Amino acid sequence: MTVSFNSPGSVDLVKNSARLIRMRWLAGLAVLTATPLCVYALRVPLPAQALYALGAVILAYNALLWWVSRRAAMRRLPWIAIGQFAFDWMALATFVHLTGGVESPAIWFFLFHVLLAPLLLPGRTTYVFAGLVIAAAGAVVVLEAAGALAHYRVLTALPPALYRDPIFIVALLGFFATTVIVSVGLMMPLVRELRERERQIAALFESIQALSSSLDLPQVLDQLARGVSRVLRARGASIRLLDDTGARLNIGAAYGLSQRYLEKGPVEVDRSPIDREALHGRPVIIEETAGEERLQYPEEIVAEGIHSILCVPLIGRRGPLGVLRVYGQTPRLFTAEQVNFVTAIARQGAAAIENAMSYGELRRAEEIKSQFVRAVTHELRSPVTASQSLLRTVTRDLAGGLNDLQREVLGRLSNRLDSLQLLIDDLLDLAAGKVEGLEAALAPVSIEAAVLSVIERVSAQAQEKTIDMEVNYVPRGLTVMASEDGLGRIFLNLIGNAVKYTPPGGRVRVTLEQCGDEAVVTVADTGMGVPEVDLPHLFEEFFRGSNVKQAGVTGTGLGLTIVKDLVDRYRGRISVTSKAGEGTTFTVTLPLAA
Amino acid sequence: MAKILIIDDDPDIVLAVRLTLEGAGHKVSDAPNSAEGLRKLEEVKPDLIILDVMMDSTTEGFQTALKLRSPDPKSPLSAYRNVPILMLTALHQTTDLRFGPDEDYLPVDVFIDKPIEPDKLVSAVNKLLTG
Repeated sequence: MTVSFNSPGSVDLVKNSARLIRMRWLAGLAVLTATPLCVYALRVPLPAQALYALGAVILAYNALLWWVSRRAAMRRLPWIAIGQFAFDWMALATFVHLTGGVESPAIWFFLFHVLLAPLLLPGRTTYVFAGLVIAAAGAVVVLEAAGALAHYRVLTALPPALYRDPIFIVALLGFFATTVIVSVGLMMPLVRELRERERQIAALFESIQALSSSLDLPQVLDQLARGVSRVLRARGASIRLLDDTGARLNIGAAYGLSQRYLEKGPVEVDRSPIDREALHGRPVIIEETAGEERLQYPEEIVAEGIHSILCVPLIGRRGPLGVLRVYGQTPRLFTAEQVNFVTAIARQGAAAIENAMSYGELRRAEEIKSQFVRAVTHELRSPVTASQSLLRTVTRDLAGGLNDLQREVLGRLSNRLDSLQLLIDDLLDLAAGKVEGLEAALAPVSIEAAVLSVIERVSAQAQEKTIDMEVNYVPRGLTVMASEDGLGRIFLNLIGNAVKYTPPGGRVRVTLEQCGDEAVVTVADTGMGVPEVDLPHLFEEFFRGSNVKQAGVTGTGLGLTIVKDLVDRYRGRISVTSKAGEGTTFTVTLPLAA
Repeated sequence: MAKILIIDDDPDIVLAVRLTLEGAGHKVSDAPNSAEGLRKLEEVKPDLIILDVMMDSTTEGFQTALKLRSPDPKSPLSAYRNVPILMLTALHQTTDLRFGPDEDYLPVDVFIDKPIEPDKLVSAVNKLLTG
């Protein structure tokens, strides 16, 4: 599963660009409406024509920006942001000039953009923009004073030569420049912190995603160490896990540390107070490693160039699993906020570690089980098949003649062994299937071929019992995700049962259909049926219908359990309808291979 | 009458095969493991070899069959590379045997599932001997 997380800043760039464009419509309209108001109602001597033109220009370039930003790809947005600032910078400088230059109260409008710039402009461009703002204001004021640019005397109450007064000019520009620079200086660290927070959230999100998507312990540990180290821009990180005795911490994963440091020796909980404290559930911070007494290997740590250490516990559901250490190259690297952050990641990490450990244990247990099943296969089957082989030579008179009673006794013995063998085979199939279940790779298998090959296998038996076998299907090349053996086993059990439990002269009908994205196989017989009380138990292990036992038909009661098991594994469904004495219908539905 | 060598570590299976095949008029010799079996080749000069798939290890029978089929040209075994081989297997076991030079190559002519059905064994043996 992947969820995209936009790079920091890109989202607010879109949002803020759109907001700036909306505000600029108002600014343009304000210029166009406020100008006549000032000129005619307040009698302010503004250069109305020029201001109307400026308002029109603002609306025009805003329309252009609006049009471009609607069509631009995300990666072009920084350029659009820079474009906006450039246009606004020129428009505002013109506005200041038209509204009185050094005397214009509009000069402070520059602050709007100075405050927004750190949010919207990439990195150092903000300082360049601040410089340009000061330069623009300075140029208007100085050029007007020098007479190179016309001065519009707007505020008639002010002394007429004020715009040429050097002290006034220097004071105003000085205060203006200071305001601009201090504003940017105040904004930048705030914005940086905001960006850092965004980066951390993105990294946290990524590492949680990575952690929860893996069940491989080394991979989980590696991702955790790497992720934490990167997010904190630390020298490196390591994960140490408690061994079975709980006395030692063994290295599980490390990032950014030298091999020599990692081979420094085992960490013993008794001799390493920081790990001991952390294992009790408290994060421990070492601000400066030099002279620190709580370390088991102080010299090695200093030699590695590590100055600060953050050690947080990895606590699972059943108690402490180990510790996560983050190493800094400088003293006092870790803030309280980062400690909280690492603790949060460590909590997620501990859960992921525990899951991976449980999964590893499960796999080992399954491996042992499957080895055991293989050994038992041989040991149980060998004596039975050897006995059966020997008995058959006797009952076929290959070891001398038998009288009738002896033949009957040995025949009964042989039958009992046959059903024992059947039971062993079924049991082992079931066990092997459960073992295989976790591992087996499923592949597209032709369901038609599986059904037809089973029909072929049982047809001799059906003919012997004069059972009418009917197969209905239209060849469509239907495939399902399964294993060939397993699919064969499903139909051999169902169709074999149908033949077995149907009296001579009966009928078995097998139908194969496609229903949406599923294959539906129906096996219907006119056999003895299943009594209604037995139906809910039909798929239980060792269950055999009461009427089947009375009729003396041999069986293990495992066949349908195996079928159900396999159908479940292939994400299918099986259902049964039956009426005692009339027949039984099994319906298997399996999803078609994509 | 043909000379048949059975290599199997289970004396009861050996006895069953012996009774069955001697009943069909063949001469049966046996060996309890593959080393002994390969030694006995010279002495018996069999027309057919019966191997159990699983003796000491899961694949011993199969390894023996491979050795018989593709021996060192200078070894005395090379005289027997064309002797038919019948392999005794437990149920479903043939599916595990897909290894060897390539996936479809099996150095064995016929598989017979245990328990041994005397009629099936006799007809399989006779078919191999005449074919």
